[in-house]
Amino acid sequence: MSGRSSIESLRQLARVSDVEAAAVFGAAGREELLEELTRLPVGRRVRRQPIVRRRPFVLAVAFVATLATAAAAWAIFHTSAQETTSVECVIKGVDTIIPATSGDPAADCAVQWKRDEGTAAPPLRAYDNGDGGVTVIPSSETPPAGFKRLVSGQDVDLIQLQASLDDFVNGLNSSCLSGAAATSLTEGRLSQFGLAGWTVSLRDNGSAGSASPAPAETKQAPREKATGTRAGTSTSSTRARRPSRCSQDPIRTGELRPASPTRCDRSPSAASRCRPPLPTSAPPPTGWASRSPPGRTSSTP
Amino acid sequence: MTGVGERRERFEAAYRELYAPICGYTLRRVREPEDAAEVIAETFATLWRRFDACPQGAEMRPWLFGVARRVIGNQRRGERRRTALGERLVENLDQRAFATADSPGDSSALARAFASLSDSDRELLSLVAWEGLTREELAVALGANRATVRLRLHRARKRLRDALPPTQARFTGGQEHEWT
Repeated sequence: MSGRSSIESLRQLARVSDVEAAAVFGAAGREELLEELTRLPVGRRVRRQPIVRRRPFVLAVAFVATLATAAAAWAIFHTSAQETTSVECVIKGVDTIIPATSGDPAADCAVQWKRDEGTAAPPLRAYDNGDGGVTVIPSSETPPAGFKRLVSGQDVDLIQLQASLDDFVNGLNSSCLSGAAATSLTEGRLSQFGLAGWTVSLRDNGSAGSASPAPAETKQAPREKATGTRAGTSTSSTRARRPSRCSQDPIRTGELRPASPTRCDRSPSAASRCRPPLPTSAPPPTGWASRSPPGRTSSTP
Repeated sequence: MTGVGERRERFEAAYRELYAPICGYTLRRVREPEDAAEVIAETFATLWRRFDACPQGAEMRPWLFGVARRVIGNQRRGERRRTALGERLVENLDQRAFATADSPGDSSALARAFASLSDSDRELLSLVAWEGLTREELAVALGANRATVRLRLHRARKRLRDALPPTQARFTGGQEHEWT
């Protein structure tokens, strides 16, 4: 088979042609997007608010467990930039959000840069982006207004806690936990990582009728001013709003509700699509969880 | 015409030229329409923001593929987001057209061999086969130099050949210059 025909053969593996793909969102979609794009500000990064989607959730118990994760994560994110557990790397102009791993945001982004680009990253510099997140850009670039040089790295204990809670084997994602079990697990991890001064609580979710882990309309933050920052990079914010769709074993949970088909159900990589929300920009409802680090005031009951 | 008006006009021309290729690139790699809409919207939002600094002319297309590749990479790391732009686009989803685009995967030996490759190899080969990029354009899309691209492509071809059954192993053994 010649090189030419081999290209043709591989080409036939393409599921869809450009023309077919462009038709998927129609001419109206194309024109509306163009219209919206040209209204965006020019020349600076655009932080758009994510859209909250309300969908029926699958398991009430899973929801409770998710709330526990959400609350714990919110507590992590809703402090200073250094207490976030993700990093926004601007790689050749594109925002790339990665989970923090080392505590050194610039080093984490350098690894991601190498992975994405196949080449070593240029010298990078980490900033508090003013939105409560950490953004890393090349040292040669001038940071946008409002960025402040990050003088020290991220809290490694928090990074490890986040990874531990997110774990699909023995973390909150491992099964659909009861509220008590989720609370216990979270408290155990806090203790394990030596994070004192935290409390974990569950929202009274008796009605369990709304998949709204982090309602955007909630106005009251338990301790919004504790650090004077509003947490979350743009993508992290989205993770906060993604409704959880935990479709765990119905026998184990015994409370499987009629579920409309979800992407989680259909996807072969369900696990990766079933990540619980990680609240950042939206304050959690009153009573979700609070963090009271030594020397700080908590307004959460 | 003002600078702003001229910028918008040039952007609009680029958008109309590149909309279908970016939709194609995205929907060949992202199966969920909501996710695809986000990728398309984010990719063009990046183009809009960086229009004055991004490559112009023939290099813009492969550069934009590179942008879309990174946006998809964000999604695959589980960092999904829903934005007004993406929501707006997905509101216009044509279910019939999507059904056409969402055809079942190929089950041929070639498809299986292709699927067995790493993401990096698949992306490299599909940029050639599906997007029709030249070696120079590949270098732009991947942000790498031509020598590196040539080497990576050569290795990807070899791994594809190795993944094929012996009876089809000649598949990529043909005219190498077509690939590199």
